[in-house]
Amino acid sequence: MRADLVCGGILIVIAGTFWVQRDTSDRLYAAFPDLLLVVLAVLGVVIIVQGLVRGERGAGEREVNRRMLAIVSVLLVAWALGMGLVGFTISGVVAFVIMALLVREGRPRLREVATDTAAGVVIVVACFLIFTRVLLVPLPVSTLIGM
Amino acid sequence: MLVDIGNALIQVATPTMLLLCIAGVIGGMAVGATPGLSATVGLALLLPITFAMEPTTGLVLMGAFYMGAIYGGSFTAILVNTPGTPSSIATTFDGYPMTQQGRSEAAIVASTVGSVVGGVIGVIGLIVLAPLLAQVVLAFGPQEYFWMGVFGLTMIAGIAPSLIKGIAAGFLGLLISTIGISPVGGEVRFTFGITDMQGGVPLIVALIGLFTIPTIVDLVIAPESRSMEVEADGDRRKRGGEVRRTVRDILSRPVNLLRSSAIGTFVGILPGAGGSIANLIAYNEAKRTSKRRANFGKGEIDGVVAPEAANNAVVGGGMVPLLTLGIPGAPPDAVIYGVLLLHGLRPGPELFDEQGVLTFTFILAVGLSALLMAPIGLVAGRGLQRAVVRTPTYYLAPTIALLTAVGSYAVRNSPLDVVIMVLLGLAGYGLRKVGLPPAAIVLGVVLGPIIETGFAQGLLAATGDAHPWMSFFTRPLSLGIIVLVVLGLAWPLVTARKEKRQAEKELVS
Repeated sequence: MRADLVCGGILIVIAGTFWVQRDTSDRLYAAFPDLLLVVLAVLGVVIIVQGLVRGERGAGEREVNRRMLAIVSVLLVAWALGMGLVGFTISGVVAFVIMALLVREGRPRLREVATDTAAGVVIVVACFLIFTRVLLVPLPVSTLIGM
Repeated sequence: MLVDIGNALIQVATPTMLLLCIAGVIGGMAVGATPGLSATVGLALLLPITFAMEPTTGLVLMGAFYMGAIYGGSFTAILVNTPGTPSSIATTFDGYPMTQQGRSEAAIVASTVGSVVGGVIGVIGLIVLAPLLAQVVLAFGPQEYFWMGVFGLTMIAGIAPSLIKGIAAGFLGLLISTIGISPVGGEVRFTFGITDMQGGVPLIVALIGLFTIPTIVDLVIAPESRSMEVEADGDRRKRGGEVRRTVRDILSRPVNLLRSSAIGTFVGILPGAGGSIANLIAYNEAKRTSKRRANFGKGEIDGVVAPEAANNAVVGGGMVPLLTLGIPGAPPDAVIYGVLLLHGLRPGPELFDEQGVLTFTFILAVGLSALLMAPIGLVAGRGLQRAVVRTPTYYLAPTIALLTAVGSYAVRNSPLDVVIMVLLGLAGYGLRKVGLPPAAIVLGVVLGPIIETGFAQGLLAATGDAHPWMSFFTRPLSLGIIVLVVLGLAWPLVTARKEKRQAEKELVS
């Protein structure tokens, strides 16, 4: 039931947020997005009602490690933002090492940190060179190290 | 025509052409397997190289590269749940579950068989049916494109555990596709005041985010689940004979291969549709008609064969309007169109008359490239599969994340796209937890522009009518597709009810 209520609520909030943003200058071109918003809101209500009518049912989802989920979410967002700010290689190596250590679990040993850093540098620099030199995709660079 | 085909055969059989085909297929596979680098991007990168080449060699290289790129997209779809190109979206539905069960080698073999057969049938369709099929395409109007898009959406009924939540996820995807400048009229919508959002959310960015980020999060927060997959793969490898067993299994159901290839060829002919639609429709049809439909989405081999056969058949199909009418069916065809024009060749019926040998050499070389994918793909694809399986999770997760970041950045060289990709992916992870499947959202993003363009253009074209809406229901071709839409929606419900009754009967007896 809780998942249904959250799901329906999310749909209604999304439909409401986009509805505020809509521009009704032309009926023809607005017809399609308007239709989508109305259907989304209606589906949101239907899912909430369905959840209330059904009540608690089923075994529920496997419990998720929320702390780990929060850490990995922050890491991914920081990586995405950092790529434009400090360049591809620096943000890439830092995020690579942190993620590798997160997956390893437990307190990281110095040898593991060193191995992961070396692997991170090799993989990120190789990726940078392939994309910028071979495929001619201009990745963001750091002014400090030029790559 | 037969004389031209004979001369073309002699040309294709030369070592130079063979080498060009091999080089094109390998290069295409490498680009196709890289998330974010589509066949179009690869062909555009290759374009300057063909300037200095003879028209025939340049075209052969482009054709082989295109074929390889579409096939290469399946590798990452199967191994890391990231479609290398939008043409491999449906491949993830069963390809990745097969990997999770330690059956990634069988999935790679299935993708290879499907791609080879689909590629060859698409080329046969191009040679035999080109003039006839080109006429059918001309009968398709915006209303028909609208209904084709809706037909693609009916697939949601099959992939979502809850129909209502599946539809909601599909509509969410359609809504994401409306962000930015509208395809008809050029109005700016839903940018939330951010100028950079005027370009909308690129399909590749949404695709990478919604499929890959949840996979990365799963790998980081529950790495132990992958060790089972590696163990199962090792057990299967010890038994051996995977390739022969898989090929025999697939060929025992040739209808799936032939139907999916036919769907790919036909959808490829429709300008604007392409592999991203064909693979979804073929998957849906394979599931709808299969006796093993209950296994779809859980690692069914036919669920890998169908989309891969269809997307490679699109290559040949897409060349029908290109070579006969001068209309590029999909963006990669537009690049090939550019090569033709650069060498002073004007596509159209006269191309077959005036440059028959060149045209058929190109077509036959595309067919040869499809055949070459079997040996090349089985070596390279299985090599990549072994490398991925052997890579420890603590290096695999950050490497996938690195490739997704580069892939989404490369679409428009915009750091904002990387942020959008990550946010969409995290949202997709959360939405999956409340029952909204990311695959259905992606389906909406893929089909949104086709549906909206068909919708707006259809209404515009019928403005003289008393009821413009009725034009969507009165055209004979539209009615034919509407029947398919109704069947697509009703079929899973009917079969589910039938299976339930059967199960009840068995329980009673």
